[in-house]
Amino acid sequence: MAGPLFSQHWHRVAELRLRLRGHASLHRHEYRGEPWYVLHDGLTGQVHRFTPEAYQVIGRLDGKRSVREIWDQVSASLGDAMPTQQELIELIGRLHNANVLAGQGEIDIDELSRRQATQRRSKWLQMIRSPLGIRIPLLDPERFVAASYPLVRPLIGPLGGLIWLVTLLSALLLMGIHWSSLTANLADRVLGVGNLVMLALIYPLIKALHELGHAWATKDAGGEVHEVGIMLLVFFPVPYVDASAAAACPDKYRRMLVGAAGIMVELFLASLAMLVWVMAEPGLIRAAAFNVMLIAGVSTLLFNGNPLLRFDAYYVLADFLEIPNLFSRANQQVGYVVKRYLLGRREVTSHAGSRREACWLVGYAVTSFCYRLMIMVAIAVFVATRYLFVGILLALWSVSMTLLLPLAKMFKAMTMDDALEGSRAKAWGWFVTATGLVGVLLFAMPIPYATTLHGVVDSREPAQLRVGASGTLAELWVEDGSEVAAGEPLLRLEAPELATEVQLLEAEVREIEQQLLASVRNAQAASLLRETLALTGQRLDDARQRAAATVLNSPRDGLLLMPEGTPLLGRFVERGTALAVVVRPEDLRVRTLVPTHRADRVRDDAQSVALRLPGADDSVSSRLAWMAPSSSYEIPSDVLSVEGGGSIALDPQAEAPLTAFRRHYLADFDAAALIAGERSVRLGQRVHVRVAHAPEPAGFRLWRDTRRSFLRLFDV
Amino acid sequence: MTTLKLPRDVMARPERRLEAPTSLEKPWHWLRARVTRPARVRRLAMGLALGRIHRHARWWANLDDARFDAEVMTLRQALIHRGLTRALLLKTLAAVREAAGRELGMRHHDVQLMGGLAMLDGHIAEMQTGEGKTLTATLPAAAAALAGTPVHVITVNDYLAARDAELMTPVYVRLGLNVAAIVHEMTPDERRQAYAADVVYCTNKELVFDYLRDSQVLGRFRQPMLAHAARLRGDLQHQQLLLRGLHFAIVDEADSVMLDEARTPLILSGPAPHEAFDVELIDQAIALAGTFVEGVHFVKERSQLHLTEAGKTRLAEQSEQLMQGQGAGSGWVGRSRREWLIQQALVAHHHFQRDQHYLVRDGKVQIIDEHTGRVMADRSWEKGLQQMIERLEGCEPSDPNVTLARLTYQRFFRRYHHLAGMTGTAREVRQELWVTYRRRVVAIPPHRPGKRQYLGTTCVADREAKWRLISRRAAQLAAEQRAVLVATVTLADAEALSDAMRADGIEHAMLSARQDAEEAEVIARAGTAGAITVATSMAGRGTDIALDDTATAAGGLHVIIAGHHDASRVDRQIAGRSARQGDPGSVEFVVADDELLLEELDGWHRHMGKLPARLHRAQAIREARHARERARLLAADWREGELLGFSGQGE
Repeated sequence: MAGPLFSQHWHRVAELRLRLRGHASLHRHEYRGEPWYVLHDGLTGQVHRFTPEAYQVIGRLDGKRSVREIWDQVSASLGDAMPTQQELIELIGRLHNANVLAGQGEIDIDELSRRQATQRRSKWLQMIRSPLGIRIPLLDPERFVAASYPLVRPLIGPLGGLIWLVTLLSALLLMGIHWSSLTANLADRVLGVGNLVMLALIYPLIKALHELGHAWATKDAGGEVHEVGIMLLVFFPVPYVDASAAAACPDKYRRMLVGAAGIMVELFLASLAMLVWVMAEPGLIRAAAFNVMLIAGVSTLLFNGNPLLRFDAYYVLADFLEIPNLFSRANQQVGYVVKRYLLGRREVTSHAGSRREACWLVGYAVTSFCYRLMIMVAIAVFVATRYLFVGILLALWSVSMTLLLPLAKMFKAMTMDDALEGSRAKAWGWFVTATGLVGVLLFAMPIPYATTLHGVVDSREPAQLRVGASGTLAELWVEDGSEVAAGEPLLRLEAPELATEVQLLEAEVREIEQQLLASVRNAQAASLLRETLALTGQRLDDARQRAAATVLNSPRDGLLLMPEGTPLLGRFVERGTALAVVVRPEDLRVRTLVPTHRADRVRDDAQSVALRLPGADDSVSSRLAWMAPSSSYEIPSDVLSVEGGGSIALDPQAEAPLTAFRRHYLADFDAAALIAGERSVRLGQRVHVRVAHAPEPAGFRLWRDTRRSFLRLFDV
Repeated sequence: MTTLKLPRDVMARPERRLEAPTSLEKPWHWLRARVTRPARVRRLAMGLALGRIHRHARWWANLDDARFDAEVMTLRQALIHRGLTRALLLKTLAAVREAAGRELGMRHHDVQLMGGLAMLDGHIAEMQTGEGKTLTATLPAAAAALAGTPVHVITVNDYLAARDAELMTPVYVRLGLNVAAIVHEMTPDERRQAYAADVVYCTNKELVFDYLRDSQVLGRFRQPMLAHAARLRGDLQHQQLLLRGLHFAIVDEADSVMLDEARTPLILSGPAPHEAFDVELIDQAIALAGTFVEGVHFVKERSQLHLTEAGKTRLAEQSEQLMQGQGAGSGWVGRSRREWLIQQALVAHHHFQRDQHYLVRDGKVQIIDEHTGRVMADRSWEKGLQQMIERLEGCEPSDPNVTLARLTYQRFFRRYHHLAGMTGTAREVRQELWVTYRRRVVAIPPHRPGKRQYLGTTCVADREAKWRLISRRAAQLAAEQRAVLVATVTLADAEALSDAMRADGIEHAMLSARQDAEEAEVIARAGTAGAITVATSMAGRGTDIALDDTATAAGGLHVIIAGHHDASRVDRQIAGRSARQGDPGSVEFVVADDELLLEELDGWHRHMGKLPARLHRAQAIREARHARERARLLAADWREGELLGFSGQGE
């Protein structure tokens, strides 16, 4: 109880003799072990919660006692908990606004019509103010719910619960088994155009059942549902039911059931769909089942099932904690904490009844705020990858709603709000400190800054080692990555048919020579034989040469690298196959593609460059050797493309095979240290390159990135 | 001559219904307050109207007296029949001008006609002091009254109300209208008759209190239909009603009435038989509060007292003892109640000092007004506090008063269907006037260009030096046959200066802000050569200081402003007393380093910069603070209006 005891406006109410209207009834509830009184308006289904102290007043509103008499009586009976006059006025004002007060003699028709007009206008204003959460009431489902309730009645109970649980568990089991095939490329399946149509068809059905679930549960809790409609949440239609009548139910588990009914229905549907999905052949039915699972399962868990957003689970949580109006009271409690402890104001009052409740409230406010921000950004990013423009708009909207709007409100409160009079300086002090701190963190505190790239090992002028003959690999005298000298034998192939061929030809040569000796007289035959001899001699030379090529010698000094890996001994090798390359160590380099916006920084501000082989823990230092003067779409190796495990997206519409989606600069890094290292380096191998820049505060980077995104978005 | 008399009706009571501005309207008003049509455009339009008025005026001037009266009658019928159309309006203004010419020998100047036009359009006409605002007011007042609308001309004090009504009566009578003035001493019957007149001159306070008294009579039957029903049933004593509703108001000194005085709501209080205070309880509270130690049991923060936890514990223990044997009926039951009790007792103990905040006279505690230094006999502190201080001073506690009705000026004036104002100084607050009352300020150029000389500011070390300097300076100027007016901030200052002058043997006149006829005479004489007049800003308001020939020849009236006032508007208004209507005149400021205004500056700010700059800063801060107080009152008004909609009572 705070504030002055007496109100300046007491004279306006002191002599009123008020009474409750007939359609208002009071019920006793328990919240967090405290008794509360819930006033239920039978006409509108609205529910208002009051403390026992307020009940002392409300119970005395009989049309015979004046407000002053009631106050005197209540003050005497409540002792320390007596209400101040202002509190009493506010209480009566609340009752009046809830339309449950009567008994001031004549009905003031002007006042009534004015109130109705204000109500109507405030509804409109509500729409204009939050175009992203418009409610459009459609119909009164009470008759349908009442008629269908007996059919559903047996399911609301232990039996229904059991069926529900069994279905859910079996579906979960199946989901575990089929997890990978379910989740493969989710985004493609969700937002494919054909699937969108199906989603749009299935969605209303599921949601209708969801809302019916609420309605039946409300009926079961003794309430009535008089309003069903569509809420345009971020321009997306979501049905809603007005189940506020359930709040009159004193049993908190029943109230929780009302809140949870929708989720339970959806989960049940999702489980059934899972069973269908597993059993059905690929086709329309299976796709439909998948979509049902998606809508009912995923959306339920992300939105309705999450108490941090103000959907179904929120109400379940609020009922469970027995803290009605959890959200607004949580925010008010944060406001109280700020005012009381940061600004040191004395006149503010806590909104929590106990310390525990206060912790719940503050904790809820903070986590829900963070979560809302997170989910907004997540949705925006998800959509942005698909629909760029809408995604950015959505992100802007979510940021302004969750960050800028509260900030603007705070700013207004700090400059204009009278409630802050007297602690304005303190408020500004905190504000400046906080923004200063954020500013320092963002713009003054340098944090490490680096560009990480994927690179591929590559040589400038590789000397290919090709085998001169076909044969099986007999001997290998060197290892991958070893240094070789020019002329050094490296390997030998075994080609037995080559030796045979040489012997055969040698024998042939000998035979021709013998025949030549034998035909000295016959000049014509001799000349013919001499020609044959020359030819065969050539063939023999060729065969000998080939036989000699089974031993491969190094063409020059350098490093022997086998990009295809070390060949197995005994493997048959076709003639002309490149088995290895001999490169000079100074010719080796790490080839990378640098995104356009980072090119300048990589070129001009490379403090250090570190190369790391995949799977290795240590890295070696390097330097930028060369960078292409202009950007291009070409990709030097498929290792760098997304498909090859790199980071460069391929242009799906390109005709040439390795064409990047965006322009990049080709850059080479020195690989000498990599070669000197212990691990063997293969050509075409992936290398992680980290180019460290001068440390820079995060704010500037954020600013550059944001600016870049927008420049790209608007094509300037 | 026959007068056309509409039936007097106190039941219909037209008044504007107020709706709180919505969240979209607020920024819109804020924007509109800053973006306005240039004054030149407005003046151009009025200039066009002036030509047509003069054409009508020539026609009216050619009529003989009998014909004039007959034509006025015809005009009046036409007005009642067709309303104040633009064409009829111009003709009417010309008629009023002619009536004033015939009866008073003063025909309205062009600038006065422009002022009248502005007010008929519902604006606040900003006219220099001495431009003849009283005469100007007859234009809209008579025009509206001729059209059958009751008119209230609101002035700042009783004397001015009576004087203006008397001065202008011939004009109204010539037009077939009757005039009345409301002064404090009038009985309800006299008031009722006065309010029945076509044009009523009254002060803002009398008007609001009469309105509040009416609201007491009406109770919850505020709608005409409800009221009629209640009257038929005999539930409503309609004969007791005073006003006929809020039709048309012209507020003189609009900035002062609508803003400066609007910081505190008006409260109509009456005896409260059922809320009698227990003397024993008060004594207990005072005794208990005496044992509380500052810093331990309570702390003082920004002139407010807060109980500490220790204080609360002590209070709970002590009241436990006091409660024993008294049961549930004890005044100590209830934490809020006993904290309130002890708070009041602590305030009575530590906040108010005898002879500074109140006087004890004839066994009664009387409040001293901080600004004027006058004893306010008819005021008392809020609930309980008065009684506690009375007990503390050993007096018999008076009967507690209870609030019967409460109304802010902001709320009251906006209820008028047509509200217009005139003042000498509104420029500085035009945005606030727009946001609060939705009235524009229209600057009317002076009839003759001003010849006022500003002689700058003289700084001295302290108050004593200031009085000495002013006294010397005034004597010197008086010797030059100039007329001298010294304006002080408070009555105490005026008295101190008067004493200083007397000590120097300088003859002077002293005005003590009684605001009556005598004072008006003194101020009217302030224009004679060699006269020295000392007054507060409030003294002799609305009265012109007419110069005699010697004084005019010597350089006119010299105004010495001894210290800046709460608002620069007030300074400007005082400066405007010199050099009226093309007369010569000069103004100077004399300020000391210990001006009370400097309290606005905290800590080192108080000593930073030159004295005039500091004073301007302090003045700006105070103006902003007062504006904020008014804004807060306005916001609270709306909020409470919403909250208390159920009570069916507006006030």
